[in-house]
Amino acid sequence: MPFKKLFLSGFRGLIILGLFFLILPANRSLASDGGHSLNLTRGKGVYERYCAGCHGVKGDGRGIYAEGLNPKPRDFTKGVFKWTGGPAGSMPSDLDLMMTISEGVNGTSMPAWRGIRESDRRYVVDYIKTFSPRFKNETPPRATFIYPPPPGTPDEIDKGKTVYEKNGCMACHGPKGRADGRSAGTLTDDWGDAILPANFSKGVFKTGKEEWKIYRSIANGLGGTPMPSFSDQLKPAEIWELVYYIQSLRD
Amino acid sequence: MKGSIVNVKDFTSGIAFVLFTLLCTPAAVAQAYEGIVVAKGGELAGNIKAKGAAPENEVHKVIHNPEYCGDSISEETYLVNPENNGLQNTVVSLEGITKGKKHDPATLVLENLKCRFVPHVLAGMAGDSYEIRNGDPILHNTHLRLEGTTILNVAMPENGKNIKKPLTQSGTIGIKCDAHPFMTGALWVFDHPYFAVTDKNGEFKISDIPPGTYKVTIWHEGVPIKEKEVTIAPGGKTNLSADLSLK
Ligand code: HEC
Ligand code: HEC
Repeated sequence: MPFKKLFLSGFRGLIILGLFFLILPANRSLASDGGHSLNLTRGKGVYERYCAGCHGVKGDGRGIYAEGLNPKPRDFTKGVFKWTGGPAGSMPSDLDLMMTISEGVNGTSMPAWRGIRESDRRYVVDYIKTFSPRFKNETPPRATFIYPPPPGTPDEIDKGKTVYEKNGCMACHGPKGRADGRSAGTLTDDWGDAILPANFSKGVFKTGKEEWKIYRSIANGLGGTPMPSFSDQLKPAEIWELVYYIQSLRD
Repeated sequence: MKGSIVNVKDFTSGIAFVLFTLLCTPAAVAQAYEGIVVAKGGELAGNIKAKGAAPENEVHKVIHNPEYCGDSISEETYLVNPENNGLQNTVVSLEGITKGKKHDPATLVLENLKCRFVPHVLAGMAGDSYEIRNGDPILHNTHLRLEGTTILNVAMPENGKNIKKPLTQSGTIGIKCDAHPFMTGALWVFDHPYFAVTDKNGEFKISDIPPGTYKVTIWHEGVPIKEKEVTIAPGGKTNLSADLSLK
């Protein structure tokens, strides 16, 4: 082998080797992250196509369609979410976000996104999490345990009424759950907007028809809103009684 | 060359990832505080007073639970001692101190009492805990927002349980009861134990400070934040007093 050729190929090898070392750390984390940055690029694409119109390109909730919407689309930059596995104020898990995105928010403009591919929904979850540093600094706590429901007899509904009255739900939701409690008109959320308590007479829950989710809203509260968590104060049976009672308030 | 080690797509995404990581790394990672034996520590003490007459505290009509809270309730923003003009609930703290006296984890008690948060202003160190209590026969909720972001919102019904939680992050926590929106308070969380809240006479004392020159922050909810510089001499006592103009 002529010397020149050996030198060249050696040199080229060196360059390639050098490049390899340059990108090795990046490539490593890529691998251990399951191609995280690639997912983010895809997530960004999905986000800008389907979500930015409401949630804004920057995730600040100021998309072109946002004006006039009530409730307003979530401002992701604050890192506060309503539907979390743990108590109000804790971070949502990927699963929590997946669930909200797939099922939408009933009775609001937030659509259910089951129509887009599951992998795309996962990428968009990754992408949404880049809007707030909270996702880096805090981890979601273990999800609040949802105890199995009792049968839901008229007796339980009656007990629920007592629990409702004893625990001050009326302050906000009103004596008959018509969102007309004495403090209802004074409530504000983390985004600085006025917010109304849920109106149970309509029989529509933002989380849909599933009762365990109503249980979760009472147990955990709703992050960023005045709805507080009751899990430390009420027994699981009492929370279920409340679930049955407030559903019975439907007109 | 087929099967080369360098794949362009990997390469760009690799770079993108590096950039992304760089972008997302918090600019300043808070340095953990180190507790040491402070030799010849100094003391910072003084008196914070209101300059001139204090503004009236805002009075709110009580809409919910007037039967218990009364028809109206005044805020506790300005608590000025008429005898000596001492301004209560001013938070005085040193800045940027990473090494100093040891701190035993404490539990700060925050009570819902007669439709107020007692105390109105608290200060603690990350690693301390707080315990929320309700002494009133009505439902309150204690809603904590760290720099405006909800970190906790617990219901505090009549005869409910006390809620004890750790303080994990430093910063300013606003306290509010949504059921009674006139109920507010503040909880300051520091990365070090060199802070104090002024008492009824506007007095405070911070002890065992390693000698040196420090920036001191003076905060009161009704006044823009103030900064001063102090020098702590070995074993010495330094006075820091200020008259705050409340308007
Ligand atoms: C037509 C407007 C609209 C579009 C499009 C939209 N959203 Fe929303 N989104 C909302 C509104 C409004 C809310 C707030 C609902 C509430 O607070 O009750 C919301 C809330 C959310 C939340 C907050 C859930 C929580 O726990 O607080 C997430 C996450 C979310 N959207 C994700 C998405 C994603 C991902 C897309 C795109 C695939 C998307 N949204 C598209 C309107 C929209
Ligand atoms: C301090 C005011 C306040 C109190 C007290 C309160 N809530 Fe709420 N609650 C709210 C607000 C505000 C919302 C609406 C949040 C939203 O839509 O984002 C809400 C929402 C809810 C929801 C979710 C409804 C949905 O559409 O999914 C349920 C369930 C609920 N509250 C039950 C209760 C029960 C039961 C009690 C008493 C044990 C109670 N709340 C006490 C303010 C309050």
